Amino acid sequence: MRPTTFHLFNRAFLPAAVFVLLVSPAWAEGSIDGLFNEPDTESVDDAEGEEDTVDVGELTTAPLEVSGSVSAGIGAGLGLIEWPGSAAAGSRTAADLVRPSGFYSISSAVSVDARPEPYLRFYANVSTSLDEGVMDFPAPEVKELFIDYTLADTVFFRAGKQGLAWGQGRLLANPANLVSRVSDGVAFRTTVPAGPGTLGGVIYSIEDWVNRYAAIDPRAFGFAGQWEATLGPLSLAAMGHYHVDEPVDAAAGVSFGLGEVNVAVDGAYHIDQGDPISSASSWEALGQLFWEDEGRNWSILTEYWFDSSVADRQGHQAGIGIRMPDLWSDWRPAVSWKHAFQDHSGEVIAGIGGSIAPDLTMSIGLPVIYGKPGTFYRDALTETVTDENADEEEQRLTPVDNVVTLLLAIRLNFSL
Amino acid sequence: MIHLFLTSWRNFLRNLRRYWVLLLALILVTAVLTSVLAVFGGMRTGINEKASRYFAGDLVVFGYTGHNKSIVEHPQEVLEAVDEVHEQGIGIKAISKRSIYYKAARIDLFYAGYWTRQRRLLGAEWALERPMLENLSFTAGGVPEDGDESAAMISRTTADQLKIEVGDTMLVSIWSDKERVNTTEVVIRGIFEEPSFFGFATYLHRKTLNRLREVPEHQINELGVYLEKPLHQQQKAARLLAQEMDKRLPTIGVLDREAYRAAPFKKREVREYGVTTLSAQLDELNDLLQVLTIISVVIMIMFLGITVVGVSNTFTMIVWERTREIGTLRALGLQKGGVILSFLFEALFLGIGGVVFGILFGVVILFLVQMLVELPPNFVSTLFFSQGRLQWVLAGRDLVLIASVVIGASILGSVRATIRAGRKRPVEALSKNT
Amino acid sequence: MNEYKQLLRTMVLVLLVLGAAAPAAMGDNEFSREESRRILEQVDRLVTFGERDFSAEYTVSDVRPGQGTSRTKLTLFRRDRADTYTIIVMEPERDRGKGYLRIGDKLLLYDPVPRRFTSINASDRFQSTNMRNSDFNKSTLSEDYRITGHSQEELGVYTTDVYELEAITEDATFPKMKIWIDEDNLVRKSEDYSQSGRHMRTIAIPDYEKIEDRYVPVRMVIQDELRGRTIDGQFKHERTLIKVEKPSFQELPDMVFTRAYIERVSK
Repeated sequence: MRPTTFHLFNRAFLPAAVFVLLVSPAWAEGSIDGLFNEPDTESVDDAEGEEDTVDVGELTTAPLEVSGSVSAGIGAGLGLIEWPGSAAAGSRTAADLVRPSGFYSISSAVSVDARPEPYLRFYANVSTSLDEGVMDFPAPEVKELFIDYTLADTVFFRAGKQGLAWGQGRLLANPANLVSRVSDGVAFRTTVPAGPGTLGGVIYSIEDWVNRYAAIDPRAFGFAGQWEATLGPLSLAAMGHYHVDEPVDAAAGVSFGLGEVNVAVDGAYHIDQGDPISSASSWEALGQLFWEDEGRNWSILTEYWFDSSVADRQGHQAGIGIRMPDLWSDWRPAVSWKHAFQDHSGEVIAGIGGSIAPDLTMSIGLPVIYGKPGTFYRDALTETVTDENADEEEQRLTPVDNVVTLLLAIRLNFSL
Repeated sequence: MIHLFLTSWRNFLRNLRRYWVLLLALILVTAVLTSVLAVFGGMRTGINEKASRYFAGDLVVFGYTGHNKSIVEHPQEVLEAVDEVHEQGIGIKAISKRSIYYKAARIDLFYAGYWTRQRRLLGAEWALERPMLENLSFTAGGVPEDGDESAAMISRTTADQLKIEVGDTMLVSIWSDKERVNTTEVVIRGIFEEPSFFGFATYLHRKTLNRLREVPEHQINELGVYLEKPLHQQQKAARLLAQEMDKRLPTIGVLDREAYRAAPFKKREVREYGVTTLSAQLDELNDLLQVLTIISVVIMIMFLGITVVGVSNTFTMIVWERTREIGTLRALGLQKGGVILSFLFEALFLGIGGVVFGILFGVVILFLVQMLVELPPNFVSTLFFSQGRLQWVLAGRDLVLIASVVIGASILGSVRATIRAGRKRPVEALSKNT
Repeated sequence: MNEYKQLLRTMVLVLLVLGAAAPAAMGDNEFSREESRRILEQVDRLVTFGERDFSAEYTVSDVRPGQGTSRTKLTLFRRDRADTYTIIVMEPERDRGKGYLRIGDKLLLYDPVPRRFTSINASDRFQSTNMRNSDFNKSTLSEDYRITGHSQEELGVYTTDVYELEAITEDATFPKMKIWIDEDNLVRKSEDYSQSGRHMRTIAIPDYEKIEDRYVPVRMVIQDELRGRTIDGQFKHERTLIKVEKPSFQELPDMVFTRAYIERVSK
């Protein structure tokens, strides 16, 4: 159809033309018709030439890469252990209830990533952080260490210590995440395209199970499977989990877009295999609405979670999280509110953070916890002190978590 | 009495070191109350002002067949009904006949390479709506000449984004009702200050908008009525108008919020007309304001509870610490009532101190926030803020409310301790080791 | 979050390039209604690589006079018959490793930092970018337009046939179009007009690459006729430059269109 006289020239010219295109003012500014002053060097028959195509394998191949990161942070907090004037505070004045605190941390991680072949990958990540008790760094801990193998570009295997998350919950809980403990142990995972979706399977073991049974005993393993697919506007997922000593878990989730709002619903059922008389089986359900404006400036996430294992069908919880646009530079405020109806406790966190210098970030947070001690969102009273100001000497339990704290932290993050 | 008052004042000053934490708390409570009430006041005032112009009037007549779009095919009959309503003693300021285009992501304005988007295009008749449109605060130009079909009015935010001035020609591009791109050129005749939710609207002549939308030039989508007394007569006028229209046209009556939402989609054999009030159209915003009010009340009650309990505890402590002093006063002849009153005065001073400094502090915060914080334009900031900045209104009744609440809380909190102080017998009080 | 908008915009453009390939074989100056339809049908046929997989690397530069230039590079794998595509972001560095997987109406975004897929509503998102929604649709010129005028014009080194098109259905976004066809029956330039005749956008395709019996546009300039800035007394339009490398109809493994693949590619 078209003469091929430009063919050889094209091969040599192409890289140069690429460069010219990206910087040339003629392309960016000149007249549109001026673009046609040179004949097309591209529309040639490629049939006889070598095929220059995207190498699907190349994307998943990379030389050995070692990267490291170090992070150091200092922070200070000023909080109230009880609300002044509340019954729990008694006659203590605001000044008595103030509790200042400070903290610091240093941690470092090194990761190794090798993709020698398109079907093979090795990844490891070890990290250590300062133990303030002994003022030393403990031996590095392996956070992740796995090998990936892809068979015939179709079946994917990952073996080793790895993180994995199923389910859609983000704020309150994630009941459909039946594999939350995978990262505590070692797992073998595989995914296969199946029908209109993907089928995944996980076999894993954790320290507790290995201590209970021999390491080769099948009872030392947990088994989980998941099928997920997108059918029209619906994303569907079904999953299950089995371990010999635990309730059998089954979960399903669906999500779809409703106008600009993404709706997600997850349900999980835990079938107790132990004592058939006591109805220990329980179920959980999570509903989620998520909205984001087109520029991802504003986002609002609301969740409702029900857990039937809480007595008297009281296990309702609701939460909302709002992220606002940057106020200035990259300083972005966010606020979240979680409330447990079962004991009317909750947590409101307002925070803002951003960079103050290269590699240096600052964050300011104001967490407020409410509810009686020992409720869902508030730890029980554990710290015993003697209140010397009281009329008579009395033993007073003070909470470990503040009802409100103003936190300020500065963190240095550096990675290469 | 005056003597007691002065003594209490002196005592208050002398005991200030005991009071300072409480005073700080009261100042904080007052500052928060001041800020919250001022911000909500600002929101409410702003929204009500802008709404009626945006929604074509205090009463709006719609005509639906079930295809979502409202068309008023029989404006004459509706106008006759409006006349009848007027006859029955409802004051009417102006009438509007509007064409509406409401596809937020499909309205683009261009000028000299600059570009911006609008939420709504409002097709108005300048002559009809002049009395209302003239109330817009123009920063340049004004309401176009009657019948000027090439004219447009834009908000100052829009003008700033386009770097356009009165007299310049702007290009408007929309997806017409036939779902294809159409454009028209208009000349800017007025730039108004409406930096809010309602500011993302551009006013065109109704005929121009209809041509742009590719619908019949004379089409009217909404027929609006501006009332002399919108707040008092809105509901009654809506009822009367629906009754009068019913005599002339197929009518579905006055549409409340739910009906107003459902009406456009209900399938009908003939075009049916309904009336809705501004408050029904504004219901979503009203709801939002109501939620905000509830939140502010909750915050107030919470703070108040904390204050009352705090004051009560502090006074108990103070009374206990000053037992000997009370004994001395009693021994010198001060009656039980005098002691109580003296402590109540101190609580009063504490409250007044909290109110005065708290309001000052609150106002300084409001000023600072207004000056220093500028939010980028988005739905919330443009709805509630003015040009991305906080706008606040502190009405006299708000100040009275804050003062009475805080001083009341201070006195209420002190009552238990002061009564206890009054009951102390001089001898016992004097013998107390502190 | 401007990078995000930028990324979406880039993705739209990438898809646009695929929808703007070459028409072929023209008749003479006179066109009956049938001829007009036949010519445009041929265009439609050629721009749809429907039954084949398509892959390529894209570099998209947005040139905004007076406001800077941004550049995005990505790899696209597309399978029209299954209504799916995968996009892997290569540049800018901060977005490297992000991936998009479209399945039907769903668009999944993979963020390598939390290792998580977020589902976003594809149709809504794309509508809210600067591109026209119709840019996504398969070419239906023969159904949507008829040829109303024809002339010949020199366009640089090309002698072109210029056809004026008018929409015959309400599905066409632009009621009027003008296309320039060179001697080899490739569209070299097109102009989009509003109903009232306002010139909205110009697309120039200086370079094509022939693969098998199809032509893929590999260099494009899209000029926004309404947006730009006056600099030194001269008006400069906003432009988007698109470069396509390694275009190919090579068959792609099914794996490419799965979440697992994006996870594998990402770090």
